[in-house]
Amino acid sequence: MSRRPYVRPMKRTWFMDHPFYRNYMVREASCVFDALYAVNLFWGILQLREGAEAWSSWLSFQANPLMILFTVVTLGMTLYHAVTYFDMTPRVLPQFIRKKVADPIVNKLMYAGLAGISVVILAAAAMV
Amino acid sequence: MSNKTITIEILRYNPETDEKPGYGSFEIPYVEAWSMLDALEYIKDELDSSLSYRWSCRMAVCGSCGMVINGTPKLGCETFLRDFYPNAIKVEPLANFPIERDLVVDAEDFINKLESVKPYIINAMEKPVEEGVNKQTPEQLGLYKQFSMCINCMLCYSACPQMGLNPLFTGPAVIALGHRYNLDSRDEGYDQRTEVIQGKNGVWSCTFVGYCSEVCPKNVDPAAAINQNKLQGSQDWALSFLMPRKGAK
Ligand code: SF4
Ligand code: FES
Repeated sequence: MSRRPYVRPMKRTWFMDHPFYRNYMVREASCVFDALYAVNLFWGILQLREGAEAWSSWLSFQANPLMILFTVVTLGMTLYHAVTYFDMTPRVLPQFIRKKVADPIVNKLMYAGLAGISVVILAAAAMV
Repeated sequence: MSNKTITIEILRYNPETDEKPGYGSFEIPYVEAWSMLDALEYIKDELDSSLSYRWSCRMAVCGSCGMVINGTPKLGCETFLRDFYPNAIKVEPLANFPIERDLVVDAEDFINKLESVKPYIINAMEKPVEEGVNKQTPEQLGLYKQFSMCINCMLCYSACPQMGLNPLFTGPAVIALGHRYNLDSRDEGYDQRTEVIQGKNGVWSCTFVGYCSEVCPKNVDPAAAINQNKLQGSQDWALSFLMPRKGAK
């Protein structure tokens, strides 16, 4: 009897093997859209510095149907990320807090916080 | 016994004759009350005595019978044929472990990791017997109880893709157990466990896939243990700038 343990190689497409892994990959991939969107916004700020003409051409670029599609997809991805992130985060809190505040309450507080911050930002935007 | 049957496909590997693992198929009587372990036992007794697998308690306590059933890491003794019938069931050894033979995997690496986290109460000062027992309130017990329920079944290791990508990763159950002792009011071993828990292959190898907690038969929630330690580690790191002595101790 000799030992000859067999090590199975990990497939490059391991994340396709299980719905849980697929959802995980979508969650991770969602940040790519946010990163691209942040680049777009940053580009907008640079254009604003360039002057009125550059700024309005950036604005009309945003109205391009493909850009609108990209914005909608990014919004969807961001919401998906937020929902899954909020589902997981309560468990990261130190155990002595978790013992006092139930996970679903923390989860709802995070939505409340998100709503609060969104209201402030939208109000600020409306004032400009 | 009725004459209904069910097909069990098992990933077989015999180190003496096989170059690599391959599936073997068995048709066995379908009995509603049978667990996967009962099915394997029937196969070993009646069809192929060379089939190898681990088991002991038959009641989800010993943690020996972990296997991957239809793609999901499960305990063989608490997985029932009736939840799959009439479909065939595919059984494989736990993923992310070397296969020793058939469903038996090599757990040596796991045991070494388990030792490395010092899973026992560490006291700076031994207390003389005359001073009596260490007291602990129900609240203090409640803080770590969940993380003490682990049966070392290694299902979480099979569920973790980071384990496959970085085999040196300390992994869910071991970190959860380290966390269990760190949270124990009688323990003073936090600093001694930091090297393993916060080290290169500690909690930072985890990307919070979270599937480990999903498959855990004892609701240990090892993903929570790991990610609570990321928060703790970041705190320690930030504090080490404010109070270098404390961080360095
Ligand atoms: S944490 Fe859960 S899944 Fe992992 S070894 Fe312990 S009991 Fe098994
Ligand atoms: S045989 Fe003990 S856990 Fe399944």
